[in-house]
This record gives sequence, C-alpha cells and structure tokens, in this order.
Amino acid sequence: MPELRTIFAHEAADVPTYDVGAKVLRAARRRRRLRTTVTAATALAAVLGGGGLFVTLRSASPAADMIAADRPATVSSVAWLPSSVDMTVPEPPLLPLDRAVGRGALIYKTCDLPCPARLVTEDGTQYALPRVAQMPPTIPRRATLSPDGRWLSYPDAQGNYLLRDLTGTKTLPTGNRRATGWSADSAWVGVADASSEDGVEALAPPATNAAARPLPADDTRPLAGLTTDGAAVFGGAEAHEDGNPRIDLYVVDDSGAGRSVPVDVKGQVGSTEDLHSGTLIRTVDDDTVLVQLLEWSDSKQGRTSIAGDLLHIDAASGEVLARIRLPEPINTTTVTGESATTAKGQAFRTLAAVVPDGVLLKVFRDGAPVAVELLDLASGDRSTIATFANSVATEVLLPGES
Amino acid sequence: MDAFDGFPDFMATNGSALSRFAYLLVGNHADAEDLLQSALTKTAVHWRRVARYDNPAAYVRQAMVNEIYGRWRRRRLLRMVSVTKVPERSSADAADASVDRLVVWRALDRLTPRQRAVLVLRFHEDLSVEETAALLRCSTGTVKSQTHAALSRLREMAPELADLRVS
Repeated sequence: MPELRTIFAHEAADVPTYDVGAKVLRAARRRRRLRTTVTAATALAAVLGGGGLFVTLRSASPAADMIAADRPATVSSVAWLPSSVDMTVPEPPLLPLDRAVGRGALIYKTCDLPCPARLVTEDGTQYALPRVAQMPPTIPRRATLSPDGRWLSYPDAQGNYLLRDLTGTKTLPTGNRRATGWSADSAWVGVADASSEDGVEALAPPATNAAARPLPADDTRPLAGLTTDGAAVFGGAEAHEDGNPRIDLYVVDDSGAGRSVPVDVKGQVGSTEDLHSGTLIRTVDDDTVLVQLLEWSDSKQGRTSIAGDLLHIDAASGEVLARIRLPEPINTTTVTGESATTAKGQAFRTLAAVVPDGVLLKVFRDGAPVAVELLDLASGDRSTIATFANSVATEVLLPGES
Repeated sequence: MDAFDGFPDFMATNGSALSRFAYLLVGNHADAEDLLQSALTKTAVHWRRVARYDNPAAYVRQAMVNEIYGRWRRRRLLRMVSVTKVPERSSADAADASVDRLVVWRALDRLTPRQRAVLVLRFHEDLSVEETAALLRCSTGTVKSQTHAALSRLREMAPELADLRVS
C-alpha cells in the first residue's frame, strides 16, 4: 500500500491548469461595479432619512454575495412535517412515556403560562406535554426538539427537565437544565440552566453514554449551536463602534479552546437596518452561521422594527459570505382606541432553525405564525412546507429551534 | 491604478498549483474548475487587500476550503461509491498500485470536506500542523484530531486500507 502522499501526487500529476482567468476577471469587474452603485444608493438613503423624509431603501451588501430569496414560495412537503396542522384540536392526550410516538415535527402553545405545550409528531398526531405548576412563572418551561425530531427536551410536571427519545422510551433526566442548542446532525445537544442559560455543557445522545463536556461562555453570548464534532458557536453580543453594529462570535473548538471572531457587518447593514441585543444566530454547518437583520421604520407610534434579510457568515474568519434577500416585510400598525394597537397587515419571516433539509423560516401574519417555509441557501428557493389552519398559536417551535 | 493590477500575473504563476489543490479537494475536474473560479473571483474582488498579503495563494486556498464546506451542506446525498469495485488488472505490480490508488481515491469521496481538506493540506501541500491550523482557522488540536479521524475513517471504510501509510 503506497503512501497517501504518493497517491495524492499521482492523482495531481495530470491535472491541467484550469483556464478560468478571463471569466474570473469579468465576474470580479461586475461585482465591483455593483458595489459602487449600491454604495451610492445607500448614501442617498441616509441623506434622505436625515432630512426628515423617510425612505425604506433596502440596501444590498456591497461586499458579500447577494442571494435573492424573495421570489414567491412554491408549495412542497417534507416527510417529517405534516403539511397542515390544526391548532384548534381540543385537549390532546398526554405524551406517553411507555411507548414510542415517532419523531417530533413541531411544538406549539395556544395560550400563555401555565398553558401546556403540545407536540405534533411527523404523522400529525398531537400530544399534550405536562402542565408544570410548581415552577416559578419566571422560569422558562420551553420544550425543544432536535433538528431530526428524535429528541425532545421538556419539563415534567415537577419542573425537572427530561431529554426523551421519541422513537423509543429512553429518557435522560437533565434536572434544571434544558436544551439550548443542537448540532445540525442532532448528534450533540447543548444544555444549560433553564433560568439563566449559564453553564452550557455539550452532551452526546444518551445512546453513546458520552460524558457531558463543559463549554466556556459568558453571559453576553447565547449558544448559537453546536458543530457535528461537539464544538460550539456562541454569539449575539454587539459592539457599536463608530455607530456601526458588530457581531461578536465566540467559537469553541472540539479541544475546548475558545476564541473571539468579530464580524464586521459595516457595509452589510443598510441605513434602515440594525441588529440589537437578542439578534438570532443559528449555526448552519460546522463553520458558518446565519443571523437575521431587523428593518426599522418610523410611524406615528414611534420607531418599530421587523425581521428582515439574513446574513450568512463564516464563523472561522468572521467574513460575511452572503446576504439572503427575503421578501420585503410589511410593518404596519393600526391604532384602535386610545391605547390599543394591532399589527393588522403585518407580515414577516423569522429565522427559526437549520435542519438537514435546509433553513426553516416561520411566516407571521398579523402577529400570528401561519406557515413554515424551507429555504435553500444556495439557490434562494423557498417552499411552503406547512400551514397552520386556524392559527391561534402564541408560540410555535420547530425542530432545532431553542 | 486598475484594481486588478498584478492579478493576471498571480493567476499565471499560481494557476497550476491551485488547480491541483482544487482537484484534490473535490475529486473531479468539473467541480474543481468551478471551485477554483469561484475562489479566484472572490480573491480578485478583494485583490487590493490580498495582494499585500505575504501569501495571497493561501487566501485562495482558504476561500476554496470555505466554499466546499458550504457546498457539502447543500449536497447532502453524497455519491455512494463502492470502494470494492475496481478495474480489471493488467500487470501485477502496476495494477496493484493502480488499484490501491483507486481504492483510496474513492474512499476520500466519503470523508467530510474538513477531513479531506486536512489530508490534502497535510499530505499534498505539505503544510505543518500549525500552518494547516492557520489556514483552516482552527486549533492545532483540531487539525490533529481531524487527521486522525480522517485516516481512521478511510481504514474503516475499506479494510484493504488498513496499512495505508502516512509520513
């Protein structure tokens, strides 16, 4: 058996020099022309905004690729999510512990605490999760599903969290620690104190009996996700230098070594866009993350913001790889009475999770979740994979969302 | 001054080596050419900055590695190539070596992009662990563990690779 080096050398020996020079220069010149045009447009928007005339101009990233994902969505389906979920089902049975129920598709709630959450499995069956009465109302009682729908993290009736294999009966108690992030392949889950989200540890599924591994983090950076080898990405702390927002990622590799990766989004964020604390970050794969921008607008009710485009970021270098242009959000408010306002006509999409099929977006209309879309990051194609009939949900959580 | 001054010369000087690197990363010419073009385009857009680096070719390699990570995620269904299907043997010694290379080449297709990139950087580009870590923007520990994982996986996928040697 020859050496690997020899094998590589042999394979490489006959590789021709690919003739891409002319195409490269043409493409690069086109991109530089686009950058110049867009930068001027962004400057114009800033001038108009400062003069009292508000212009909602969605500025493109001058330096990152732009992926257009604002075409109408097609209708499609995925095996693990029912295409329609009826949220008016009265009192579904309690989730059984003595038998498998199949992979979870989503979790929803139709009222605020202490209303119990409901689990919908891939065949459309609904189960009620335990009603937790003993926990203080300020402690989150959030159930979460792994990206593959196999694992459910939820509190029992006493408020103690469990990690349950929905395809069997295996259950791992995790005490007061709930799942706060997953790897895209569901091989790793990050668990942390349910109330503070401090003390994040990475756990492999109980099947492997691997010990929990503590992950270094600070209280300003929530867990964005884990990689397939148990490393982690934390993010969300923004620093505003010179008035420009910045994302600080903290990447912990599988040896436990951590380092900060600043992401300079200057030039990627338009004059009517922003990040603010709590900006959602999701890991896409072992090396990239997605973050959602907010678009803001001024109205009689004041300044309001709404979920906008996505940025795809290289978590290793902090480079913004692409901006994903979603359909223009509609941010309208209607005053009804002296103090009440409604979000009539409001429509937007939020970044929910990343699953093996792609990126999940939740579609909201008039303040309620109405559908789930699947986004292909490469092509920008979106497809509606589920709708919520008679949506009365106050919250919907998709696999991988925590 | 044109924004791409010096870039054509850079491509002429480094094109062969970068073509070989692209091919070893992805295993076929069509994808390799596409990968190289994409990475060089990104480099050209930032050429004014990259040209000042000590090693602009490393920037292109890094861009290629980042690109394949993204492509692999989008193409979840990997090509399932049987590593036991080998061509007919012609002569003894030359055929044995040819078969060994084919087995390894096909097994490489089934590694993750990171694992494959680490092997190519270490055992073709002859980068040290530290240089590989710097290019992949990870720790030296990760490079070592990924190297070990990649080799273990190659041997696991094809028993005939049990005595695959590296130096």
